[in-house]
Amino acid sequence: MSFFSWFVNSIPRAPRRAGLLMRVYYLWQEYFTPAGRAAAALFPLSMALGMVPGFWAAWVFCGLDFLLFLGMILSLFTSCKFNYVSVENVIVTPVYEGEVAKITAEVGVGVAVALNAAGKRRSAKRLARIAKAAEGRGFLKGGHERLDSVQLASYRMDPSLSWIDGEVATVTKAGGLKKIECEIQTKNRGAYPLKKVAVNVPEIMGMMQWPFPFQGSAELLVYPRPIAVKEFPFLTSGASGVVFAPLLMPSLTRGMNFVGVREYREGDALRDLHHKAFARYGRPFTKEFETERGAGAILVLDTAAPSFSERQHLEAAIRLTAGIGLWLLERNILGRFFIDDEEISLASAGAAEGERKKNLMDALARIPSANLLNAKKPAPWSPAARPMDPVLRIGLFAKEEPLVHKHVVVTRLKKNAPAAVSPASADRNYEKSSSEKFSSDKILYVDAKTSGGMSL
Amino acid sequence: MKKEIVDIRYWAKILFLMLASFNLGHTFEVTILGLAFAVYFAVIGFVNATSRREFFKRPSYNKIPAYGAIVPLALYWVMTPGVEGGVNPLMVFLPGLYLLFLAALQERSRGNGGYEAFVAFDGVAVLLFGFFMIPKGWAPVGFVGLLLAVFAYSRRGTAWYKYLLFVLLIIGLAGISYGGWRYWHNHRSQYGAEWAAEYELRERVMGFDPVAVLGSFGSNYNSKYNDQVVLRVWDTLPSKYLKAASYEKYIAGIWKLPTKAVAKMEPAYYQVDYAVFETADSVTRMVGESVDVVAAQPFARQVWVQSTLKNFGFVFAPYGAVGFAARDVDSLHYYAGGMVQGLNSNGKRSDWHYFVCDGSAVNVGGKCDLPDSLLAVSDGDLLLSDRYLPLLDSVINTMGLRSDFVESQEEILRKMLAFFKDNFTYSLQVPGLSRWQGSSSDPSRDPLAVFWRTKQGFCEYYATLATLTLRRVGIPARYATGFANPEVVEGRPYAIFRRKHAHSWVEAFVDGRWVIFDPTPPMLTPLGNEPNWFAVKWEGLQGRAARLMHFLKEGEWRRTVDSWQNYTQKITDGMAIYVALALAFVAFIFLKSRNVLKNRQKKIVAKSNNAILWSKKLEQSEKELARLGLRRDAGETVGTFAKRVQAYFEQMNGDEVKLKAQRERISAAIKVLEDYESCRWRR
Repeated sequence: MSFFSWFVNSIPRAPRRAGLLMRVYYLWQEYFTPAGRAAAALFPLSMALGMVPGFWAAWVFCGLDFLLFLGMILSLFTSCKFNYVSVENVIVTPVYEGEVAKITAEVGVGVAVALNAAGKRRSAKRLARIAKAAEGRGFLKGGHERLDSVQLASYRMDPSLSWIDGEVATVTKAGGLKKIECEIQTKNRGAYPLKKVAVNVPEIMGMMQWPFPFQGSAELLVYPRPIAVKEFPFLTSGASGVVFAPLLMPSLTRGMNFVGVREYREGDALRDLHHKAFARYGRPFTKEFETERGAGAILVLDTAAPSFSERQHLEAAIRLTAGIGLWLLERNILGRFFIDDEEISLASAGAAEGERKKNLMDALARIPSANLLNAKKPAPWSPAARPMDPVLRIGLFAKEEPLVHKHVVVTRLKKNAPAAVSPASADRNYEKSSSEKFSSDKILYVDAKTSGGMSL
Repeated sequence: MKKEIVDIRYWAKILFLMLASFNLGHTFEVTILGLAFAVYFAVIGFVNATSRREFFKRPSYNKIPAYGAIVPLALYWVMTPGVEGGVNPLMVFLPGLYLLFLAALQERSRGNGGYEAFVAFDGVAVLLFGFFMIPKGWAPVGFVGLLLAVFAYSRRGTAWYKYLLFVLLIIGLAGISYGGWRYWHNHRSQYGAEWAAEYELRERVMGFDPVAVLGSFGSNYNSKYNDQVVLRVWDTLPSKYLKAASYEKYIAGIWKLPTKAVAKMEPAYYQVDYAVFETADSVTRMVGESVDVVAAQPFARQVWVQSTLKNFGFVFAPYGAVGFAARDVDSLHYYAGGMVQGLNSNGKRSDWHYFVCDGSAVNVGGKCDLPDSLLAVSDGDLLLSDRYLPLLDSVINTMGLRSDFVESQEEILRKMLAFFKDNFTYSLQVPGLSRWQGSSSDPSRDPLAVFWRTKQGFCEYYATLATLTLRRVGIPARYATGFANPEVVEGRPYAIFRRKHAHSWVEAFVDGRWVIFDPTPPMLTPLGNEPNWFAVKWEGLQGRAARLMHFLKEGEWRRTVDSWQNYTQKITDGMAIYVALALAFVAFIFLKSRNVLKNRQKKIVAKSNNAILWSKKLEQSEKELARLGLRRDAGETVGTFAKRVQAYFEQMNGDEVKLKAQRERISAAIKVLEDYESCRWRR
């Protein structure tokens, strides 16, 4: 990502708090269907056309359009708002950035649970009546038995998300709660509150609609795309790598309890080779035993980025953290994980690998994106308790840290440099490198433009 | 996977789009284009309902043609010439065509970058544009189109009686609205008069009527619009006086124009939309030179005057103007003294040019001098009504202008000027004068008498009294109106006359020549405020924008466009272009379908060729290996076999003698096996 595109994308597209204009826009978005928007926009157009001499037909159209909307507003209240529609159990699945997220909700019409949908705006008297009806028969009086072409939608979202105008469904009173889906196109990593998940019921002309909102809260997590880490020799290289090396030596940490057979990976002890499987499949397999070891490596993501040139690489650093974090988790050697000074709980060591991965990605998704105006100031890494295990820091600039054993710095390397560089060649490619302070094996510069898999 | 819902509503929408495009073509007499778009919508509608039903299969929306098409259409739109008494249909057709194009692009990739809202907007707008000056009997088509559109977007699964109720509701609302409109129509006269008066005041410069009422400039000086810019003269050194009219007969507070013009000017040649009128043949050009030479070095300087308001048909010009260029007129009347009339005969505001000769350098051989016939003194210049004689005699006595007291005609002017300066005060009001007092038969209540009594008034009164007095002493004189003292700002390429710059003065024939005599004493308090910094800048911007538009719409460069338009008109009128287009279309379809068929066959052939080739290669290498005793087992994959051979090969590494003979053959065979594994099943 170039600096220009980062800068342009960092400009906020919507105000932090919705003012009058945004509210008008919400009205436009939520109460008009695409056809309705077209018809409403044609009104001023036809008024302007009416000023052209000889274009009296435009005035006629203008009048018809106006009458249509007058009628539709009446129709909106009699055919849409009149119903009891409830939206329950909204489920949002997290996705990687750029993917399409799916929202699922259960929608009922006239069902007793409609109490929820009845919401705040109805009078106490009416609420009491609804409650009474719900207790007695389970159904509400009034409203339609069957609603055609209802649609699940999500409004008032961050501008980087867009709701995909999707398929329509039919909901009936007799059918009870029905599952409806809709999709959201994502663009950037982040944790986005879905401020208004609603079910649209259009009026008979299909130009206006009434959105029945979900009363609970929902959130969409968009994970960073992890950079696939193929090999990670840097971790154990040189004098500073000595502390990490035992983590990758199963012989030193191997327990007695047999877990299963898996494919052989670089670094596995040959004594655990599963010969039968090797013979059978022609590829090496290894026996896996439960590990008996301490907490493992400590991964620290330092989001401090005092200057623009560093802030633009925050996303790359987060993606690399995801990649390295997953690499460590796969080997079961990720002990603790920090984002700046805050420790992220990845569930207990015995927990399923999937859950730990999810927690890692959740935490990464929730990091606020680099802001144009404010940035986190650099400060010494000071966790609440002094870490006992080797520490790997991923940051945006080189920095002297007494507690850190190895640094991975995500930055922009000079042209013609390899995507990932060995520590020895790092100094050549990065002018600002403070090679005097660091031994060459302690710091690794990684090009921020890397997107695919890489060997560190 | 999102896909199109194909039902009757979908087809109604396609039908609607077809109808809208055909209608646009029909209205603007390019039926073939309309039909082409209709066919396109039919094809796209069919394809989108069948092979491209899933949205992701549709071509993605391309913004480059969508935005790019604006450029040629907008250029064509800007250069579209105006037409008399209406709007050039092209002005409506071009945006309609663009919207139709957008609708086609959006519908083609709807769901993959295209949006329903835009299809609906563009489609209905196209239908609407097609109803510019509805062709006779065509209204039901529009109605059907709208019904189709409404049906296409209506909610699915709604009972028909609800639509009936909705229609009844609309009819009721329409009835109420129509009733309201009728009421307003019948009662609007109650509200209209005030509005009309205000409109008149704002849109017209007062006081330049063919029949000029004394004191009518008052509304220019006193009204809230007195700072309004009336004329922009594109000359850095404009003349101090810009004359509109010179009047002949004064009676009862009213000046009337001369009854006879001295010349009727016919167009000498045309500058795009402007006809050029000359006071003498070829005076605006060099005689006997080619058009190119004249364009490079014009003989008389041409000055553009932009008029922002309606001005009663006078061509405002400085004294000595030798030519005029005006639009939408076929003749102009030239009155003695340089008054030119005949503009705006169609009631429309219009700009003009005048031609002047600067200095003596270009005035070789007096070509730029106005002919004597245009300057001659006429009887009207001494016209006096008897009822004013007593008043004028007393004026002459008081001023001491009797022939026994003065030596020359020049002295009369000097004395009169001094008298006005010493005894009169400039005032925007004449005390004791009401508007229509002039029609009174009592001479003492005539506006001039009142003015003489009260010794207060503004330019019109001074000039009128001076004109009549000069006539009484035997000097031919005319009462002239126009603008004086233009506002010139440093760095601005043009001068402006505001409404408050309206002025009247006297033309007197003294010592055998016409002179400008301005008897009005100077104003002590300026009219209105000085414009502030922002107003000056804003005016500069407005003026330059107007000049740019003038260049774009009426510049000489338009000639090339006109000829191009004629050329395209000729082409589109003929049959050849349509035949060529049809042939091109057929050729395109032919080539496209041939390519598709050819590629399909090629692919199949290539695939089977590939298979045959690889199985041959495999057979060959297996034969080679079999000689060494390495056979592929039944059920063994080529990959595992290759690994086995590789292992055997590595095992043999120590045995140099054996290896020497076989190394190349084995490694080649292994290579083939590996390639087979990796390439054979690749598409």
